[in-house]
Amino acid sequence: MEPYGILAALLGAIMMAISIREYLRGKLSTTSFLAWMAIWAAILITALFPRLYYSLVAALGMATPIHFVTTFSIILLFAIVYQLNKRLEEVNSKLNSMAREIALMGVDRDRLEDRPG
Amino acid sequence: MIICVIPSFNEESTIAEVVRGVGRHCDRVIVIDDGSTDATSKIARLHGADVLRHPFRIGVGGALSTGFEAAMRLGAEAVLTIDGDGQHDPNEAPRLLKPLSSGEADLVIGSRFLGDPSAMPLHKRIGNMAISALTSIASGIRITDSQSGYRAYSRAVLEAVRHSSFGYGWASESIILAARGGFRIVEVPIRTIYHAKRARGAGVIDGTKIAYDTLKRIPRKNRGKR
Repeated sequence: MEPYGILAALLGAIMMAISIREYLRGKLSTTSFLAWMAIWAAILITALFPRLYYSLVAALGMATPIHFVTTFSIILLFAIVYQLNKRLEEVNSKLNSMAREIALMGVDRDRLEDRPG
Repeated sequence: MIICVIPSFNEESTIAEVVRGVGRHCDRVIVIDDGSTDATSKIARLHGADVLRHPFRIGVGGALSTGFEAAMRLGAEAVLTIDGDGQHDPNEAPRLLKPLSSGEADLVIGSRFLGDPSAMPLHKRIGNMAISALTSIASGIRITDSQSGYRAYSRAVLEAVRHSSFGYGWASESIILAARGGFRIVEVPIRTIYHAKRARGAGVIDGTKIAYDTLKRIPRKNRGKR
């Protein structure tokens, strides 16, 4: 195995261990955990069995392995950014609704006090 | 009961005058402090307003939604909205409230373009005219100042129609929803007051977003008309 293969395998294994720990601590949802495990497993497998990787590249009709890496890395990154953005918008929307609810709690108190208009 | 709703963000230098001004024409004044970091809330309270405060800034559309909800809970029969930055003249409030009380309209919009809009910077005027044109197409009625925050709503409109935009998109959205709900919308002329030093409002990015959102609301059969 080439040194870069060892490094990639090590990185994949470490990230896998971190993901499992975070999942067990309840800091990762099952969906996120499975998605990240798939990514780390793909890195680990291609590092340990580079021939599999070369066969895949050839089967997909790509000229060199670097094409595979760049193409799928960019697609994967866009997918992650999309998911993050979606999640961020959901959280933002919930925060805004909470801010409104907090402000409106004042009205109910106000009404109970029956203040004159 | 007429309730005045004033959305505001860091308006400590103008809020007192606005609250005192509209207080003469409304039974109750509610200031929605949209996460101000200055003394807006304190000053508004000092001048007789009820203050509802967002813990952080969510946008003028969100502030108005909070204000409308509060006004409805408090039993408002009509709601007057006015900006907290002093760009509207509170003395013009009766002009907006009259078509409501006479039963002539359900939503009254104070239009700077029916008066003399020359005090408004040219780029804002052009942007406003473009968005108003899109709003007119989407709503099916002619609107000259879709971005005006100086308005009067009947309770019926607020019971049936609530905008969902948290940002500046609320202005066009509420007109389109009210028009589609069959409510009568009229515009009355108002003065254009523009404080260059305090100029905020929608910028180019906001304007583009409003235009896009409004465009999405145009029924397919109306696209390309006007």
